[in-house]
Amino acid sequence: MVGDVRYRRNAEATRASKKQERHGGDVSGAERLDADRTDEGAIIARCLAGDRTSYTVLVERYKGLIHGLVYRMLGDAEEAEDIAQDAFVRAYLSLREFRGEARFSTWLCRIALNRCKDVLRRRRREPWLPLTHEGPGPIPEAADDGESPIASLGRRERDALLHRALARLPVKYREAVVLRHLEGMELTEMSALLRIPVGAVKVRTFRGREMLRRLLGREEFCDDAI
Amino acid sequence: MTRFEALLESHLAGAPDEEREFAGQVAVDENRRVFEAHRRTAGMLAEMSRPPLPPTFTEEVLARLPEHRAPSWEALWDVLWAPRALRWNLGSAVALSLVLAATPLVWKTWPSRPPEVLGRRSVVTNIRFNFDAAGARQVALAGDFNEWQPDGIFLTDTTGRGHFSVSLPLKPGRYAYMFVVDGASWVTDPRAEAYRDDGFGNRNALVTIEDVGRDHGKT
Repeated sequence: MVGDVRYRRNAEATRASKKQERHGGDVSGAERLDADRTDEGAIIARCLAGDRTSYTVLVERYKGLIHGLVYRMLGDAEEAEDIAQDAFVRAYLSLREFRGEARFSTWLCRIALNRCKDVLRRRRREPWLPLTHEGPGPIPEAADDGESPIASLGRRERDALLHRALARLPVKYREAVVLRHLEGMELTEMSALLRIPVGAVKVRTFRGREMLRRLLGREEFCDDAI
Repeated sequence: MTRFEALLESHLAGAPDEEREFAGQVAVDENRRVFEAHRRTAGMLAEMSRPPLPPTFTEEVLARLPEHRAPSWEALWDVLWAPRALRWNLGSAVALSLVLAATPLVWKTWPSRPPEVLGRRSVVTNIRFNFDAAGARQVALAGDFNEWQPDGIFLTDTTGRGHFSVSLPLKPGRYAYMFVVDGASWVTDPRAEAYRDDGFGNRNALVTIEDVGRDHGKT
């Protein structure tokens, strides 16, 4: 079990750094989130008083989270940008309805997810609407973090395969996997966001990941990982 | 979901509560394989790079916000009076024309309400006024209901024996009245339900209308 202990320590460290990285340094952990929650009340009050510029703080803080979530749910970069912006606008217009029972980010994610579901429903009615798939793109000359071009291409190919596989998951499993593993959300927060019990969150996340694993297996992707 | 799958999910989420039980179950080979597969899939997902955000994202959001959050009454005003673009097509235009054309027809042919309903809804009650005046040629009725005109409402002697009567539709209320015999004599109804002074030394008869829809006999 020594390996497991090491794995868990590494996983926790990775999660913390990933969360910070994912939010572009905007959110650095649970303590910061709690602190944010306090000052968000004041920001929202200023917005409600008509101070639009105060909303900049909230947009800057959560734009990575919302854009990433919408992008992974819809799979289309251009549409994701538009829907993510729309979610922020809708949240601003509905600020009076935010009662502070959940985190602002949770409430915002719910608005964004509802917009995604609207779009996905429309797509079902309009089957000719294309769902763009990310390709690995051209071989980069040099990666930002110093990784070799081949390594970078490998990562991009892997991302593209994962992206395609995610797009094939049923919506309720896709949202669970995205929230849990791409946005690093806790089970209880997901429960509040999706309005389902924690047990149901676990089921959806597990089944979503299981489907994803099988899809990736069919793509003959990364044999040692499946 | 099996117990092991639930434990695995808690483990991947970093929940320490059931670690001992999880450690026991993951020692089983089959469980171990499932755990490793899920752990790697979760790891790959966590490693996925984030989509690039356009640098103007925040500015574009702010540009889409309204200038001023309107008070609720202004919002209501907007809902009621703000001009809106009307989208139409030939089908909806034809449907609307048909509705407009059919409306007067439906209005005309709509079945009238049952009489009993009308009776209940009507507040007018038919009151029969009777007066015995043997030998009189003409008996009229004057009261609050006809501005005390002595030549507006005439009673008829259907028997030829001086039993004059008339039925009058009246709304609920209390009315004073008198009979006018042969256009000259003002006579108080001797069988009225009540009386009141007329201010000139005589008494007016009174009738009170309370119920609806029935032809009451009156004196």
